[in-house]
Amino acid sequence: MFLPLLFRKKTLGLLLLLVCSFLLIDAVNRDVFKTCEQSSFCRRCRKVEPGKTPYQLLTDTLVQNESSISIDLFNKDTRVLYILQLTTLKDNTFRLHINEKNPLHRRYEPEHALQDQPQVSKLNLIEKTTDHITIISDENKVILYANPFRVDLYSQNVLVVSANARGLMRFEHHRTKPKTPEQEENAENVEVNVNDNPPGDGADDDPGAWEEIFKTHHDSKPFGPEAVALDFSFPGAEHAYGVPEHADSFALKSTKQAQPYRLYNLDVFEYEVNERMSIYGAIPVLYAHGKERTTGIFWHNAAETWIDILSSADNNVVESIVNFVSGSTKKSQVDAHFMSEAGVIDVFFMLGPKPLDVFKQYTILTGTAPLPQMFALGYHQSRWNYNDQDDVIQTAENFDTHDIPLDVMWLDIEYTDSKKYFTWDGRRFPNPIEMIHNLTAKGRKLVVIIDPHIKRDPGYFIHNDATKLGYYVKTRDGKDYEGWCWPGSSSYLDFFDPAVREYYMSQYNLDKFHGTTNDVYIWNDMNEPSVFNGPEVTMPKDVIHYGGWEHRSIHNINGLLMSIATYEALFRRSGGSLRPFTLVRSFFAGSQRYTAMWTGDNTADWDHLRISYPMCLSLAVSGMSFCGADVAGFFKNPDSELFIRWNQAGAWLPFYRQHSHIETKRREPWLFNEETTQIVRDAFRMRYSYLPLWYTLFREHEVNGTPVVRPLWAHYPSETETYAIDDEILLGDSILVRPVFQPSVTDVNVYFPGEGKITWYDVDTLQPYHQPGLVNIPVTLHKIPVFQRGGSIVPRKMRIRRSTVAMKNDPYTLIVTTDSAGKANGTLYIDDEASFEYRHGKYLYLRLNFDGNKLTSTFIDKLSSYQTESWLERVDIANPPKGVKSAILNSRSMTKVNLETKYNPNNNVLTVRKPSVNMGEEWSIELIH
Amino acid sequence: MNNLTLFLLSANLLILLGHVAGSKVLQIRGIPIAKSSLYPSDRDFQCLDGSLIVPFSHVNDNYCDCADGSDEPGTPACTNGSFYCENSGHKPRYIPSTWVNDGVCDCCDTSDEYSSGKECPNNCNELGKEARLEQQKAEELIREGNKIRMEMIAKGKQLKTDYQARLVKLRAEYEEAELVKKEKELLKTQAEERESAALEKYKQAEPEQSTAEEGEEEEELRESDAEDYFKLLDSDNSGTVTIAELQTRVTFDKDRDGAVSEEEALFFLNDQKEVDLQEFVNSAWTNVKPFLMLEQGMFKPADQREEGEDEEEEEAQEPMEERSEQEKGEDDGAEGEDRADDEQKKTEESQVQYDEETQTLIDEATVARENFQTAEKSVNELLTEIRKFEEKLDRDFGVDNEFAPLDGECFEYTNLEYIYTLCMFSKTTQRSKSGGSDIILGHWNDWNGPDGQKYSRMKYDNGLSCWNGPARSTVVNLSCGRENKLVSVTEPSRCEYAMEFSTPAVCNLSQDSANTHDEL
Repeated sequence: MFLPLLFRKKTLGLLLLLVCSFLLIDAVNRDVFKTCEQSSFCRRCRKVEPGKTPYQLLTDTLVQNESSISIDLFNKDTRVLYILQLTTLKDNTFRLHINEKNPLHRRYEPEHALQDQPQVSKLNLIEKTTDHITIISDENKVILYANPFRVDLYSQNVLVVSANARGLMRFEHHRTKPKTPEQEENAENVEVNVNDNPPGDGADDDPGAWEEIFKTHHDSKPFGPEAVALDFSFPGAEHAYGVPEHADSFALKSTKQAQPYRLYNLDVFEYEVNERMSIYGAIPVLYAHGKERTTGIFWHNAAETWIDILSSADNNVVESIVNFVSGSTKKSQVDAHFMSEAGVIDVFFMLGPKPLDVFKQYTILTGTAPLPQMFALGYHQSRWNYNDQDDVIQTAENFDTHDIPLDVMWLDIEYTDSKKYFTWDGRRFPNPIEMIHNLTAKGRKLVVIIDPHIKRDPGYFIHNDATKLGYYVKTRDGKDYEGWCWPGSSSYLDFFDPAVREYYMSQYNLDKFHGTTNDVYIWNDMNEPSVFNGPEVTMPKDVIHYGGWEHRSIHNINGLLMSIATYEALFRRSGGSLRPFTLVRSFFAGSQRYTAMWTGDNTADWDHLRISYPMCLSLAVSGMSFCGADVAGFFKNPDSELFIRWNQAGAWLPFYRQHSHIETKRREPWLFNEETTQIVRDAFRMRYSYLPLWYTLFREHEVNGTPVVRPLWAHYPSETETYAIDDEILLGDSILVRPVFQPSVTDVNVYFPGEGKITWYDVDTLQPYHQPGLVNIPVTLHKIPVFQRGGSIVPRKMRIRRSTVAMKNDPYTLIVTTDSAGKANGTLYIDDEASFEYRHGKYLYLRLNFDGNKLTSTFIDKLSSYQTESWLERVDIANPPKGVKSAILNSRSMTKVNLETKYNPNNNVLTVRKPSVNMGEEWSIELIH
Repeated sequence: MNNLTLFLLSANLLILLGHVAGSKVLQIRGIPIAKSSLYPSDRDFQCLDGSLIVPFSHVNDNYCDCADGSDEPGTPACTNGSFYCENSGHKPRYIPSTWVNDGVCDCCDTSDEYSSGKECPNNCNELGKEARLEQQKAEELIREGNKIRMEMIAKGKQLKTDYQARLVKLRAEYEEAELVKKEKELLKTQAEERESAALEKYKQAEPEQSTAEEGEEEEELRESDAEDYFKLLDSDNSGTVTIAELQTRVTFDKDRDGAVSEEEALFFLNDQKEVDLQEFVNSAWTNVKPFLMLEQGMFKPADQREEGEDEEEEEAQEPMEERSEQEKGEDDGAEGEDRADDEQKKTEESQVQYDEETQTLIDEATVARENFQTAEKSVNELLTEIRKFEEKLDRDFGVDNEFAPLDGECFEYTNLEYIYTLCMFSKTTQRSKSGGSDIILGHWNDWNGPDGQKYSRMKYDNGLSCWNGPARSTVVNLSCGRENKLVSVTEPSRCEYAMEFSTPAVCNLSQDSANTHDEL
């Protein structure tokens, strides 16, 4: 949803002017948001000169524990002491923590991003000199250099990442506010003191150190300068990735001549593509990838953060450091410089070495997404707004009329009574329960929106409770903070207060939130939080949260706190039996444990369609697999071609929802023309037929942390051509998707990874493609190129029903595409698709293996079991062995059964007809020649 | 054949014989009996598209063999198939195969859910009864409506004839009026010649008239208008106009949201809370005037440009809603110019004392002028009338002119927030219940029903433009009803309205019974 500028203009005349310029430019208003230069801490951190670090370790102070060491760190320019702590963690991970030794004030450290206390592993101190300290843990080694201070991390004796190698570290200690000139005049012996003083860190000279003004907004900054920053060099890496959320390419660009990447959750009206501006979410994890290995760092800090990137392309600077760090002259290198406004330095090093290892290491720290209910992977139909309950019912019914599957109908803010969440507009929705039953009769669900701003209305119970109980975020002088949002004057529940979360969760009880049932799920929007009249459309940094923390310190994690509460509320609502589903716009590291996200208010143009892929890729490797973009663009109206292409692309991203602005035309799939309806129906059917694969991948993500969608280099790490590809994704490791992102094209270039060792099969025809690298593939309006990897087995359901619930008991079809040795394998996960019973062993996890002549299904988890009604309907084997005449099925319940086979010489596919074996038992199918 | 195959075969037969209703006919599940011959059980089955031949045991064996889905009419195996429910007691029906055994009761005879475990009630009899009643009612409605429709047709025909007759008469009158006009014009010219000859001698005495006067006069007019309007606005006679006083007038509801906000009021008062007469005339009037003119239908885009306010689109397009009146006004103005000059001359002249003879000539000329004006006016009026009737005769009032009696009729519908009006063949409007002026939702454009049902839908478009959006438009769906009534109004998309209008004019007995037969 968008921010109406309308609210913020004082006179109509001004509004008219603005509208004018709006119509002309039609783009994001950059003036509303800060550049690095306009933010005093970013300015200060960015101008630190490389190679002159004032920090040095006092190695004498070393204290060694079972799995950590701590040492004092000294800044010779300020004479401030810090404590450095290095902890060795399991899974090739290290944690570096630096804070002031004698702090004037405490500093905020995020509480909810990590899923648990990270598990430690044993640390061995093998060397300690005045110059350096060396520790080892498993195959990894860390050398801490004392002066100049630097930390080098080695994986298998190769230097993979170095902190402060460029000497850009900055840790602004808390200090007392300097006296004003008048006060100084009154003080005695001023001049003598000046001579004695160390040079300092220069922060006091910055006019923005103790207060800042941006536009009309004043930031009081009572704690003065308190930024933290550190640089990281990754020798051998060719590209950096991560630090979502930005509407930019997947591979990060050099910021040498540009603005740094910014992480500060903001409601950016009509955001543009190929921008480093911050938008709704922030995950400060960064990966550096090269031919040999992948390394990651997780910057555990919830304050505003800017990140500078230097890539191999920035020759001059980089080469000198490469020489400095590794002594080699040819190696590529990536450098990153993290700068945060507040908090401490707390960084996790994840040493891989393979891409999937690093992704997993990150999810070991921050968690994985719990397996969603199957319906959440189906199709979602949303609009701001479906006008009334008849509109909702009629729209859902039209999906049946047009034979298009639908799982969820959505209601945006207009369903409420005057934007008072947890209420209904009784005129438009006189009987929501009846409406919900209408949906659930076809196996469908409802999602309604709940935003974090509370209408300041004396007739609104939540406002009255929150006022009375002190549940709102406070201004500096202790009053309830007031901002402007959808309902007009609003205040904001302080989700940092456990009592507030408890209160908020209780609102979801079915006896409290009338008009809802267990089939109603929740959408949290505007939780950056969006404040229409606030600085950069959010809260002032000096408002106060529970525990006395300034908003400055916690801003980026605000959205996560709301997600925690909403998830927990839905969990409790069903007595812990049903898996919650929530969608959120603003998120932080760890949000994946609670919620799906979408890329916010995009626009119906080809650029925004294109950017949805790199955005979701970036999120997927950053733990947040459950990602999607509004199909076919929130603002403006797509034409039928864009609508088709967006559905074809959107059907291959994890979260598949159509959503649009209140001022757009209706765009349900049948509203364009017959051809469009038909093509879009096919895209939907494609999505639903692959749901067994999606579901299996989500389960494997939950268990292993593997992203559901992946960049090509996740599986082909040494193919340098893949590093910059982000218009193509892998679904798991078996499906390659390359949507059409341009109008009126008759062909697209597809990159086939595998260096010729892998055959890729067109999923529509099972036609094989052997040629590696870029290949020109013809497309029609009906087709986007999608391929299955030779050597894989993909489970599908070919009977497309009204909703996923209706498909639960349907039989499976297995698509076997053989590799050059004639073999293939895959997995399939099956459970009840809705409850938490799977956590008590009620599931099936099957290994599917084809050895060239025999296809088998065996239990991977022998102890689990689940009674399924689903059976095996059909097996298609591409590039099968020659001369097959029939097949024999072997299973315990059916013993031996002869099966018909049919060979299609046109596409070289052998079909095994109707094995009929239940998926709940192990079986084999042998081909008979 | 081994035991297992026998077992499978009998299992297949169980599925096949879904409907053995006492008779010995082998019925295939999912197709009507009439089509059973396409599925002969004594030979292999050929897919209905001819693409493949499969053993008969593959029919309805819950595996899709045929590309066209024809081997599985009774199972959900083929996504592109359809399933026939007999629905004995009610209407038979085809449903998509994917609805078979999906846990949703779709066929009232329960036949679609034979192995999903879903317990469906057989309610065909009840539904059938209801449907027949509905059908009866509908037929009755159509019969009754059709009667009225016939009346409307008769009336429509009569109207057309009347229009034609009227037109003939008007044209004749017009011819006559033209003659009169010409005659009066001649008389006028002669009288004026005599008059001007007589006036020659007074000419030197008259002062020169400044040609620049007219421009100034407009300025004066403006100021006096401003004063008048100020007094009107100053409802409490306090000597100042306040925000509150502006808020009572919809003229100032710029964004047409039904209320004059403080911001809107401030705009008109140049950001002051109140203004006195002097300030009002000097500054506020500039802001107020265009809207006032707009409201009074005096707005001319050119004026707006002269004001130097290059305002955005909404502003520029707002006058569109008043276009018809405005055009009329312009026409009148153009034709009346001479008259105005004459009148002006007359007032000036009357200030001078003339001798009796001259005065008589002047009076005669004045009478001649007046007579000419009357004649001219009558010609113009007749022309307007003729155009009106020509338009009416040209308009498509349906195949049998059944919609002609509705021409110009207006119908209202009120919901929670708005009052909507449908003026047939003219326009659609919306007005907030809390006050405010009419917002045009569309002007009559044309019929736009689908092929073969052209007269089932009307289109009104080119209404008031939305902020940052399209011009409002309305689609009116017509359905058979005993009376002409606006049944509902919705806004499915922003600024696109849908009206449901019931009218006997579409209760077409012959057409509808044909449709019903098709369904059966």
